[in-house]
Amino acid sequence: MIEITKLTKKYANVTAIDNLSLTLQQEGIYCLLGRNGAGKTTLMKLLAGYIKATQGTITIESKLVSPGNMPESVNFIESGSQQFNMKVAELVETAAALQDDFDLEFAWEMIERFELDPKKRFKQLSFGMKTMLTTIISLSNNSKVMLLDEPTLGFDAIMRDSFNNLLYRSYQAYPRLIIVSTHLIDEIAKITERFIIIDKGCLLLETSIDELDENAYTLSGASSLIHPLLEQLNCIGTTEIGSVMAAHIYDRRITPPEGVSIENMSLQDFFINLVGGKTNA
Amino acid sequence: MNDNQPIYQQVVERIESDIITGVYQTDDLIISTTQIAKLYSINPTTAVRAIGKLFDAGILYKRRGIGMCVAEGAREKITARRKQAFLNQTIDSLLLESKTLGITTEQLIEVISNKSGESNND
Repeated sequence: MIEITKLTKKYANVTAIDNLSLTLQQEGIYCLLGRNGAGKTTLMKLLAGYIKATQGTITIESKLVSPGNMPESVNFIESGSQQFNMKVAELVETAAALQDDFDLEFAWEMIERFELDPKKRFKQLSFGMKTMLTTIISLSNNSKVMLLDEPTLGFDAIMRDSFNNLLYRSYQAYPRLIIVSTHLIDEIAKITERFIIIDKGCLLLETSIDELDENAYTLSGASSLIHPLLEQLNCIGTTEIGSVMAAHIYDRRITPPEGVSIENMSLQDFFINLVGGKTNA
Repeated sequence: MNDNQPIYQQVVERIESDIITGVYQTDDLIISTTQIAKLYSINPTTAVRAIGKLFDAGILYKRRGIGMCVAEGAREKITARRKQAFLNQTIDSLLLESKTLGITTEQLIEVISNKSGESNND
């Protein structure tokens, strides 16, 4: 569906995306993770054809993407998007009138479910509700690819939960390729199927939730017991205090010997260990 | 959910326990993957994987248009496997911990037969 080949984007002296290749074939909810400045937004803008690549190519459904050739099948929602200051109901009706394959029924169902007041004007809505409305309008159009750039930024915990529900419901109604960038990893982990982790413009990892559920774990116990185990495992970080240590592993699961305990690693910890420094004293 | 097993594995074991204890009988419909995801607050993909494992193991079978049901002989299959695991792993770690604490095998046997006598009298 999406094929990124040796993609590079430079802004003056800064390389935002650095020779990145990635193929996404299946539909699904993909979570794009990376630190601030890792290149997440740049990647989304390139995918949407908003900006021009310095080198390399992107094809979506076998069509080459560029600013002169913006893909119709892609819907990009930037964080903090604005709408005309019309009533919620009018905005939805207008969107439906302008777009051929707009699912008005789905839009209304979501507006009701997330308790948006159809009589309020856009500017009267709270920050979270504005994003919710923009997202509902975008999700009601069944474009093949949806890009959401930090959609839950500034939301409270309950709004984030509702938002993730909305995203999942929409995916069930219209299976497609959805890419969401966020910093709230463990929350998105409840709905996302695959993770794309980038750092300094490079791809670090593209993997599934199932694979992380099984292969990301922490071993803890006496250093003398753990060090020999690490020789055959891919260790992404360690914390050593005196003669005991914790080792964060990203590899096949082992049955630890007596005296060593095994614990699941949260995705947040996995990300921190994978992207952040190697050793924490 | 506990912290030392993959989540899908934990879901597998909970459903298996429900089959052993008779919450689900043969041919009973299991709760859907969507319900499992909601109930345990986990990713639906993980729930699908757990159900897939139970299906592959012949514990569940598919009824078209209805859902997953408990297969004939599922209870016996699970019990046999758990019995084996208990005798191998649980007894091993019991013996190891006793050794660490300086409890002799004789003392252990005595405690076990006393306790088991108590629970039989209940």
